[in-house]
Amino acid sequence: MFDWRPSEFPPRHQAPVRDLLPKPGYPGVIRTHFDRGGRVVLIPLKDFPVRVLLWAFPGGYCLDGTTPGITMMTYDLLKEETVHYSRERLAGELERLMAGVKSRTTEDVVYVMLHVIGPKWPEALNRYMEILHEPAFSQELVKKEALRSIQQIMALRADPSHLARVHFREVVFGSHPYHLVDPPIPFLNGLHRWQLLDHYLKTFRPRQGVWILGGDVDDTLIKSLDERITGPDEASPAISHEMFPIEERDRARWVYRPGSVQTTYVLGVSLPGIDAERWPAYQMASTILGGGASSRLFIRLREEKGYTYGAYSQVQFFRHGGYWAMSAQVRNEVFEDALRETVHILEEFADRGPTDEELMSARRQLLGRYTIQIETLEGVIKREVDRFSLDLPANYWETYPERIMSVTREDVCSVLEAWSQPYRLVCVGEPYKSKQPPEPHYLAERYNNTLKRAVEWDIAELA
Amino acid sequence: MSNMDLLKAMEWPINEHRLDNGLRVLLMTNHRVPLAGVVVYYHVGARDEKPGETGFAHLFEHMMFQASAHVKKNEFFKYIESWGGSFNGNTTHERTVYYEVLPADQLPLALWLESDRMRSLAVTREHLQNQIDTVKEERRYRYDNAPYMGAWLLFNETAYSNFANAHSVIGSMEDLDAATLERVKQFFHTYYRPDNAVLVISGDFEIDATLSWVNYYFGDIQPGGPIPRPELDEPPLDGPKRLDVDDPHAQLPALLFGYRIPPWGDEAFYPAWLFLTALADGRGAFLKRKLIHELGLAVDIMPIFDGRRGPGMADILMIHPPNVEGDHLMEKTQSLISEYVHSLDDKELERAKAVILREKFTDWQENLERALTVGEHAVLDGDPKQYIRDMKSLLEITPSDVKDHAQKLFIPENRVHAVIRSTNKNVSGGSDV
Repeated sequence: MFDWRPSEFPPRHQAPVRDLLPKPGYPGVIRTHFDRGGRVVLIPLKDFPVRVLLWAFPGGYCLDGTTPGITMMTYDLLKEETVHYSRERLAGELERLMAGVKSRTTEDVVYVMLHVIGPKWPEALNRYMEILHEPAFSQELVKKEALRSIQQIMALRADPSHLARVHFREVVFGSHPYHLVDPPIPFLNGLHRWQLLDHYLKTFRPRQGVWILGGDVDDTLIKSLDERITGPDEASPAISHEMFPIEERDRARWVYRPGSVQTTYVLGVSLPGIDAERWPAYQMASTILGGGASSRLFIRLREEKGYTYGAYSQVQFFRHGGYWAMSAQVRNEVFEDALRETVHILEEFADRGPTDEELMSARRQLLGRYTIQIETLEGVIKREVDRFSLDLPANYWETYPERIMSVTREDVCSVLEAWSQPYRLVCVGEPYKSKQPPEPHYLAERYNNTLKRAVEWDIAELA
Repeated sequence: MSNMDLLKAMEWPINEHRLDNGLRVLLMTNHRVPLAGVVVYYHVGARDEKPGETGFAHLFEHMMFQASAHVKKNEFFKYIESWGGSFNGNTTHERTVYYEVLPADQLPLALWLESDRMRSLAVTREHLQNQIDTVKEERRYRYDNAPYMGAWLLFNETAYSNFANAHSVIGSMEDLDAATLERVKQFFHTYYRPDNAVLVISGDFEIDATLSWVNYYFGDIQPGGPIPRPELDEPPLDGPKRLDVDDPHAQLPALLFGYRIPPWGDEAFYPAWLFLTALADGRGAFLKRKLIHELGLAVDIMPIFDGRRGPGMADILMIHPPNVEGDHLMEKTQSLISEYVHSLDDKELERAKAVILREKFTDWQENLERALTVGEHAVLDGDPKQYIRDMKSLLEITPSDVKDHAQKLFIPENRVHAVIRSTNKNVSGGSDV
């Protein structure tokens, strides 16, 4: 806490800052095992009447095998009904208990989470265990939800940011499972309950993965939980851990969106799989480039040029690959100028690296942001899921401040070399008032004019 | 432990002060995490705009981040972020709010920045033009280039007759272009003053030391004269009202409908909120069960409770399959609502109350959310503790209270509905070059 006495207050023209670093304290987390097998993470945070229980298991999209979307649909529909509870009854009862069950399939992990506020934990836990152990996957539900999913995907494709995300993933990851954003429509059209049931039976291995228990909890809950978990002990199917191939050419994709008054663009590069030691350097570099309102992209494109409402940089790592992308939405008439400016900002940064002031600022930003992120139980749980999902060192988050503080200028320059790889570019909009994309290499030469590299436009019809 | 007991645990001690210049100061300590949240509410919003200047209150919010006597352009962002904080602001019809979260050691920095711009906004024509461009991009991003959002703007213009209530917060492109620096200065002097603001600080700090800083930075900012307030009265809707909207971005058609509700504080306000929640909020909501899961007539249903100090609206956006006709869906939905008004029971109401409480409790884990909650009530109701009374009132409402009010409010005569047609030609990948 600040300790200035009033007589020491600085004059009004001077910013009252103290040269102190944020001091985040990661909560005491207990990592243990069930007696009967299975990892447990206990996060006791008793200052708020909330409890969370989450089961996460590895694989994510990579569990799909030759059926993209099967894992996402299986664990989405798992929580909808059980052999004893219809969807209507289950949803209503959980909400009356001030509880919610959420499932999510990501690139590397699947999780099913129970979140309860207040005293109805025992009843909510019963429903959660039933959801995990006795899902129904009735054909009526599967048929309706497959149709609804198709309609939801159609509705989502009206959103230019979603379209950009779908295409950027394809341009970066090709046919690797990481490209998945929505389940494929032909798969949904033919979906049958037996597929989901079969996938559930193959993948539901509750003593694999990790159980995260947080909030108003203590270790006595671990024993009672251990007794309630049933299911096969053998390993789930092997997961392909192959790295996706990085293509040698720049790839760009044009998505014509009639009537668009803005063009959304994403410019990025592929990254290798997560490297826990270098991740902080990537975060520092991305923060300086486009991590907030004081970043280079934001200041130049919004505050100086007025091209956009926001321009950002994002580094996204998975176990076996990742990307670093810059994105913005701009009015059509300034699209080319904005893209050129984006490349210029990047190139300047890659050539000269960060200033000392930027480095110090990024360190404080990341530490401050981290302190804010772990203020809530949900924030801590997200970090624990990331730790499991990315296979980070056990003490990764406890030592995060030291990791950030140890990043040097050379480390940041080193990760900026990622931008010497072939570029990936996706543009969604109608900047030329025509369904036809730009003349061959016309735009490519402009956006990449300073790097003097040829770019081929890639074509993909949206189903 | 009952839900009422849970609520008691949410009655946070609030240390309240008022400076001589009229600034209300609310302090809430919580030492669990070394963070401090600073929130400044100004009692001015889009409803205070005049015809020809729609979007001005929100544009002005952007101007407050530009420059002040001791803080040059872009320095606000740099100060907050480079010392480990985050910030933002937002504008509604009713009020404008600015907030920062910082490491607790840097709390004086947020107070200095907020006081400097309250005392001495110093913007130029260049700043103004830059932010007009930025806000126009925001309008394109949020409304003109997004599915269903253009319809939302037209819907509100139909739902209200009084300009103060009907026009959008984001404003029209023409009005944004017409904004002048002179009007920015006038707006600042009229509304951005300590006696029209509430300062809330929440988190890890000591009260006496913080009050010294507050007095040092804010104590000598001058209050102003009387503040003009708009007339918010509306004639009855006298519906049903209907409009057609062609949406070039929507891939699926939608129905947007809503019912006029009374202002905050009216005895029908909370029953209306609960009824909308029972109908459409949460996975177990009545209309989701019926129209999505049972009948397959809707794809997604989203409730929008637009409660205001003047008349407000209880709205629902319903995205539906192309083979369902919008007016038919409205008719079917209205008939279901009429049946539901009579069948609503304790169990249904219990679910609706739990959905609202769970959302509030989840938000209130964060210091910043607590500060935003008490600040909002302080500036709009005059009483920062109104948030807890609201929740208690909500818990005491019975099914018959809800039925009594819902059968008068959720009827065709009190309804507006927009039939949103998709005129979208399928998006495609481009052609090979």
